[in-house]
Amino acid sequence: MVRRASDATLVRKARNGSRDAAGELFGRYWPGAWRAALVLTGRREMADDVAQDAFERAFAALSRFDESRPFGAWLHRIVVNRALDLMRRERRLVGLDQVAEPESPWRDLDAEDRELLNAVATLGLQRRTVVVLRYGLGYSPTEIAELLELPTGTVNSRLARALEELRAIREEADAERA
Amino acid sequence: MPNELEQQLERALSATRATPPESARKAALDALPPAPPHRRRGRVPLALALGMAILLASAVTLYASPDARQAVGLDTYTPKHVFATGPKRLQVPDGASGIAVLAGGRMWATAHAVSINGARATAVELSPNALNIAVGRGRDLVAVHTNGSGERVLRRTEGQVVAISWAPNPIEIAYVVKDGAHYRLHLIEGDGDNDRVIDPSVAPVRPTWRWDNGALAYVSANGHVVVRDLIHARSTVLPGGCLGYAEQVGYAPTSSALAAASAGMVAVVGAHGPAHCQPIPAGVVIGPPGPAKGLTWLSPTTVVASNARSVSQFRWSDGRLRVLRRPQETRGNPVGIAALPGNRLVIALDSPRLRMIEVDANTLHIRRVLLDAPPTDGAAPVSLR
Repeated sequence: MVRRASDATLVRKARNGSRDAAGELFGRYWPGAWRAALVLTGRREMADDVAQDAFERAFAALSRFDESRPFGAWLHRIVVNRALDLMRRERRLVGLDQVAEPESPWRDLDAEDRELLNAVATLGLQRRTVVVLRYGLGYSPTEIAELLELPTGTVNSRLARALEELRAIREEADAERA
Repeated sequence: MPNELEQQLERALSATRATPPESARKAALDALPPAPPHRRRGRVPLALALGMAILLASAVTLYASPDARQAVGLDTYTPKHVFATGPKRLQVPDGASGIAVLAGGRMWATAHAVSINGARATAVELSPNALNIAVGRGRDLVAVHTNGSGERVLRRTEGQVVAISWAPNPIEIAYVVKDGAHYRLHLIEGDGDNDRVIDPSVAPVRPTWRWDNGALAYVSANGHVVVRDLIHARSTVLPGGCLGYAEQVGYAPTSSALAAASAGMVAVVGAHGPAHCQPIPAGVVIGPPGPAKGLTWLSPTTVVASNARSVSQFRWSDGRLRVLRRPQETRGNPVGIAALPGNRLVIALDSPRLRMIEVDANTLHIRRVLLDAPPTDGAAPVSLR
């Protein structure tokens, strides 16, 4: 059985110029980074840009990366920052109502999941960010707090409010259907 | 234990297919820095011999060429400054989107549709591309769009805002607030969200951001340079070393090189503290050099520092800081400097009047007077975008 190289090993090799090692890191982390970007931005092409940009920045700065820390958390912080940066800039330029993608970005999901993610897309950016980090990337509230430099209590309260909001949206949709 | 909604969220958020475009993969891999060179023992003597030959040739060239002698400070350059009557309003230099200066408790700023002349302020900073101006006004941190639209209070603080530094991203703003006898360093987002204290005890010095927004450097209350790693949320206090009490810090525009200046010293700061300190002499003025008044990077390898009545330049290369230009005297006291593309500097001088001048960085010859305002008596950091 071939043993899977650790992230730290891959980072070390990539730092020494190994494109194979960097490619392995890219393959490991692209799906999570892209999904996070998609949920935050709500648009596939923007998610492509954000994820690609985050990888470029991370790889360009590999020499400064502390190998004792998780590569994923570092990359995901860059993804979140880039996505929020783009969203805020775009919101200023065109106004919120024009940002939405004409076709649903969740077209490959079943109806129920699609509806839930459409509801996630209506959350404010702060709540959307903690939701994607918690449920999309599996970080604990403490890890999210460290990643976003927020108190854990703030993360917990944002998560609780987000879930409340999602429940309310779902109940409203159920009531309309009934 | 996750409830039904949480389980559905986990499922839905992991169900979307995410196949990377090949172009994204290629672009990411192309961003990798070049591999460090492998050492080959057999080539060391050859490289040493070559280095010696280059040094010898450089020494001969230096001795023979007046320009080169002046460039490394063997000969002192005496500037010929003649101030014409300057404009009363601040002008944006060519190649910049906006400029702001604070002196004597008043600010001058101009960018796009906004022009502010002599308004009361305690700190001022333009955002990247000069799209916004952040201003410390009494106990408020205020942001104003430079397209002329309304201003908003980002934060009502407990004390005066004394320094502001806008991140390159440009989402976050670092700012220093006076709190009694202490100064606190905060981070806040440009829309006023997520205000948090980074360090409760710092010096009233403008913090500086690394180009990639991943780190913030500032000066602690006891004069040490501190690097806050924003990616891993931890701070490193660097020893004072040869620098002593740091008074200015500045990251290079496109690298992680960090310069710091104290009264009489400038250094590029590494992971273990200041390395390769160089003295900043006071120029023709005899006596102590006085506090560092300005520090900026003219290019990714050239640091400019000012104090007393002079401006000095240093070259950062191969891990060493070398004197590029010895102190050049200025007419008036430099109280702030900023770099412009095309080897130009903007210098704020506070005596006898507040003057902002655009100069050629090699000669300090004035190209343009940007502001000529009544006398002031305060520090004047220049914000240039």
